[in-house]
Amino acid sequence: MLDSFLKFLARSLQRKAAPEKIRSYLQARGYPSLPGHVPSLPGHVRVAAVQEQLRVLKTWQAYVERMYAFTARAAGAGAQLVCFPEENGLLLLGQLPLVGPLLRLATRSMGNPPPPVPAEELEPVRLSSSAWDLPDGSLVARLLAPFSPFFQETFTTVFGELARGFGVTIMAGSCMQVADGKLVNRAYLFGPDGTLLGVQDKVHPVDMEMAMGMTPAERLQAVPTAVGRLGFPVCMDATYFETFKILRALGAQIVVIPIANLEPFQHYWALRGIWPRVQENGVYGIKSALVGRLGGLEFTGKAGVFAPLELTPDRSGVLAEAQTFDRDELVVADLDLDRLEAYRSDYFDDSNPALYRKYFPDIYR
Amino acid sequence: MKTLIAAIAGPDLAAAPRADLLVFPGAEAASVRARDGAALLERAAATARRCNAYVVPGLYVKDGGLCLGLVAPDGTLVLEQRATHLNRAWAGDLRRADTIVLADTPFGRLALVPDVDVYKGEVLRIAALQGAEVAVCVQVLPPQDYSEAMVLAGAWQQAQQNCLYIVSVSDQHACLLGPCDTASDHSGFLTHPGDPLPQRAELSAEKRLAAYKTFPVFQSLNPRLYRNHLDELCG
Repeated sequence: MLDSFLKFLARSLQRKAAPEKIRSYLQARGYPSLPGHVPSLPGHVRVAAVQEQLRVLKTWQAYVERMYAFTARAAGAGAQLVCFPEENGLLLLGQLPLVGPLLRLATRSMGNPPPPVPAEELEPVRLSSSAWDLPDGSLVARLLAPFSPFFQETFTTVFGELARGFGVTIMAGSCMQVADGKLVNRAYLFGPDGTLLGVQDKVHPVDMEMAMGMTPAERLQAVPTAVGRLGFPVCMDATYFETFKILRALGAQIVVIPIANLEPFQHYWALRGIWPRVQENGVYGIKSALVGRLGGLEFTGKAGVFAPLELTPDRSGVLAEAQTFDRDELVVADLDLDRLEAYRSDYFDDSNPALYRKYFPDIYR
Repeated sequence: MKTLIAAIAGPDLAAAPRADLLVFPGAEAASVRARDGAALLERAAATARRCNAYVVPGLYVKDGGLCLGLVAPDGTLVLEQRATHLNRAWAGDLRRADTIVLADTPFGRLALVPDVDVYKGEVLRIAALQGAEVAVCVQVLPPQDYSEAMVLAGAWQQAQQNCLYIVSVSDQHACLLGPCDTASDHSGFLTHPGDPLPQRAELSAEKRLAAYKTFPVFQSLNPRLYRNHLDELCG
């Protein structure tokens, strides 16, 4: 009964927000000329990180207008790359008539995350994949599965059109969905001609996501774009040096991390992600953030653009950062890819493949 | 792990605070090169016996490697770690090690992290996944290169992504670090780089466990991902 009802709702949303309707809407709205656009210098890229306050968007038109507004503002500031936050696609569910009770039902259904490792097992630490061997058919996956085709279709239409209309590369953020029978947190990247350049599923789900039955991706990619080679893993992925080292080795110059941090803002908690990864690996980093309160959940930022210390004027590693942690903001900065290519660090650069090959095959079991 | 008291001594070793683990203050590169490593370890042994503490006396050059040593309270050298990464200050004539060894102490498994190894995620990950709970990082950091950002980008962030206590020392700074929530202000700084020497702090086993429960960093590790990208990780 529940599944049938959800499928009915999903089909209703798909009919209302059919791709041709979205395209017509945006074409009628038009894309203004951009007097503030700064011609790009060779090797220079202007980027924008969106800090987006949570709102219940009750119609697809409201969703489109909100994404249009951020993109227009970024493009008007001369940005060639615009980055949206984690779970940006889930905001499409604001159209549901029962979104409040459904959200409460979904968050209650999460139950308990996998138990923390008991003290005696912290010493020594043991890796286990068992946290991911969770029962199929968690309620969250059941709730999202019928809507997933709607998410995929609407998300790709909206952001493909916005990318093409404004002539910018867009990392649209991510959307939790069921794809190929698996619950994933999937980020989307669009080129300035509207083409979907790639998707990246989260590779390090947090314990809450694992409790929902999320499947972590097993590959990362660095995608060539008009603004350089981009990696775009998701949120918690930035906690692990492995993520950025792999992406750097794959040629990434810019790594975009969309976040939806479910915790009160605390400077040092927020520092446990992209900033140290940028220092370790000599890449540019962009963090886009979903912020605000919804259904008892609190998300905090801050969005920002980061670089190796020596490539920032004050050697802070921060090119630009949001002033608040809970409000709409757009963070814009210029990246010099030529300077990044020439960058060398006497502290972070050395490599010891013999060491890594000696240990990694065994410790990553 | 058991709770321990860790301290970083000031210039007067005779006035070193009481501790289970005592680390000598840092030194600049020229001093490290000029050091007699054997004499340094002898001084460490005497301090260890006098203070009834484990002692890390600082960097020294030995057999073509940049080393850190751990001396037990009975004066014996129980761990010696050669740097596995080198920067320009050392790479011309010294050689990198390809082994990371840990010491089992009464308070837990301990890793020594010489110089720029502190900036390498690979080193502390290998140590942590072999059971390290405490690390001592001693580095040379010239004044023109030092900033608190270099501490954040090194020992501080290693403490976060590996749930470690870290004693971090250079010729420019000294501080005691842990996972964010082991500090009362959630900063991860048990003592601060600007604090005068000597510095002393309790590295609490219970607080580390509690911090891990709120930020269970090892639970989300993805071995399949890493095996699929071994070439990239080993490059």
